[in-house]
Amino acid sequence: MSAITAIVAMIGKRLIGRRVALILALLTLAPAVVLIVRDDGDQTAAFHNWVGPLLFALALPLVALLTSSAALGEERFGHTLPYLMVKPIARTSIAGAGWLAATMVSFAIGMVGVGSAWAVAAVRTGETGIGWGAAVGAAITMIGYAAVFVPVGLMARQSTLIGLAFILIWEGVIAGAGDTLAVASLWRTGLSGYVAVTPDVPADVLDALGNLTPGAWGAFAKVLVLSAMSIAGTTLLLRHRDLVKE
Amino acid sequence: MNTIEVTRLSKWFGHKVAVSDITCTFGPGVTGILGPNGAGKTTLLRCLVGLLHPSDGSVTVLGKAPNRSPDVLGKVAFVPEHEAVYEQMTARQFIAFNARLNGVTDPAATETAIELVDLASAADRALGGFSKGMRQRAKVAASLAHQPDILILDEPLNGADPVQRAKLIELFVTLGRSGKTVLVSSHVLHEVDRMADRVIAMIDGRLAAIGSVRQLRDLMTDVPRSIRVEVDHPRRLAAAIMATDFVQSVTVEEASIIVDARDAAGFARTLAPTSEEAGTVISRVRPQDESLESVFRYLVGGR
Repeated sequence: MSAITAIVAMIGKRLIGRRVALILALLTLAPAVVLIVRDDGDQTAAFHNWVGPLLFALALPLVALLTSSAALGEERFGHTLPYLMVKPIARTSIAGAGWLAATMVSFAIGMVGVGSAWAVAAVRTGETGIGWGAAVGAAITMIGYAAVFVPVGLMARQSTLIGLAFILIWEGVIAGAGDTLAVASLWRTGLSGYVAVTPDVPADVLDALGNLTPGAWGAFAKVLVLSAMSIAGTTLLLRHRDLVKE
Repeated sequence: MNTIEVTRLSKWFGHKVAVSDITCTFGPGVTGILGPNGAGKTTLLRCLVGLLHPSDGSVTVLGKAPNRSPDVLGKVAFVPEHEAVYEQMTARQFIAFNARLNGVTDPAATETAIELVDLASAADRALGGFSKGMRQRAKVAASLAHQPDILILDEPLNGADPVQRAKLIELFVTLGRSGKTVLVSSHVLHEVDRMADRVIAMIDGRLAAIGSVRQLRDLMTDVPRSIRVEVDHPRRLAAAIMATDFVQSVTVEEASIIVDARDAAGFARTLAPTSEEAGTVISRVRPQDESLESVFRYLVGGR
């Protein structure tokens, strides 16, 4: 196991072992619960309508925020960052390991919601492939949010508040107010991947995309570029800021 | 041969100066960084391992700036003062994790480090359940697994019980004698005395004294000590005491005298016979200003 793999495993285990991870996983079950309770009408459309807005606009961003901001943030503010920093490891590797662990754990928790809703819908409709698009969209969303929230968590002790403001004000209000800013919304970028992979998505879900053109590869490319910029920024923070002074 | 060179190092946080214009070098052997809490010891050590960036001046470790050369950190180990550890890990996992980050994958290295700090019986327990002293030992073990040339330990004896304290001191002395550069910070004079060949005394972010333990002790013998002696006949004892060579002045109180001794050791030797000759009975003797800080303040004031 290389040093980077060891850091990813350590951060990943810590993130998944927290009580908040369990609470977040329960939160993502909401669409599945709704699908079970509302046993009427078109089950395929119900799946897309509930997984789309509820999971992508609310649950996945919250999961990503509370998980990604803790990836390196808990190292810094929990005073364990020196164990990583005083080692013969490039700062880029630490930044990359933080981003990768955050993405993997966020995606795993998000998939509890996607998977449970997928299972309910598959039983009801007989369409076993109904959730592939949601899974692709969730992966894109979590990569994008990890790119934003990992450095925020490292920089600020109040990262949860800052992240909530980003989700509610930027993602919820500003990016949703007009079509043009929708391209800058991370959950909509994830949703564009979802829509691209899924046939016959209801109009309500498509409306949420604004001027975003559905496309999984483009969405992946966008969040990966954002991640590369994020890792570069986090590396600069680790290299030039005094992160251990309390 | 110097392994660490500090040149005119200053570090400030906003308006607070934590370390001011320090120049010194470190080489093989144990060096004690001595100073009261808030003296700047931790800031200095963090600058040495690249965790903090100098506001002014420079630090080189094995000829390189540690914050710009991660490769040099493979020869360095740092034990932070903070007792934070990965609480979910067992001691063995924690030591192996640190070894792996230093490029050491041989499990034997982890086992050797565990034995060195006498932690074998608790090695498979989670660190979250460890006492402060046990955490310190786990941190020291984690720093040793990759056999570094330079060990920088920030208050490593904090929380350790007397037996473990003695063992850790013995370990540091052995490492120093084997040619490693060992820097140990402490605010306890006698601990540093037991392990360090050389001492750097700091106060208020400045270098107060530097030299061998003996040289520092010599400086400290010149410090006038204030000692309170509780006695049944204060005036009679005061008169007898003033006749000795070791006393600078005596203040008489209702049931005690306060002696400013020129030579505390000499005064201690003569107090009992002098009291007996004067026909007085001493009930208690206690120093008024034995704190390390008071000694350091004297050193700083005397520069």
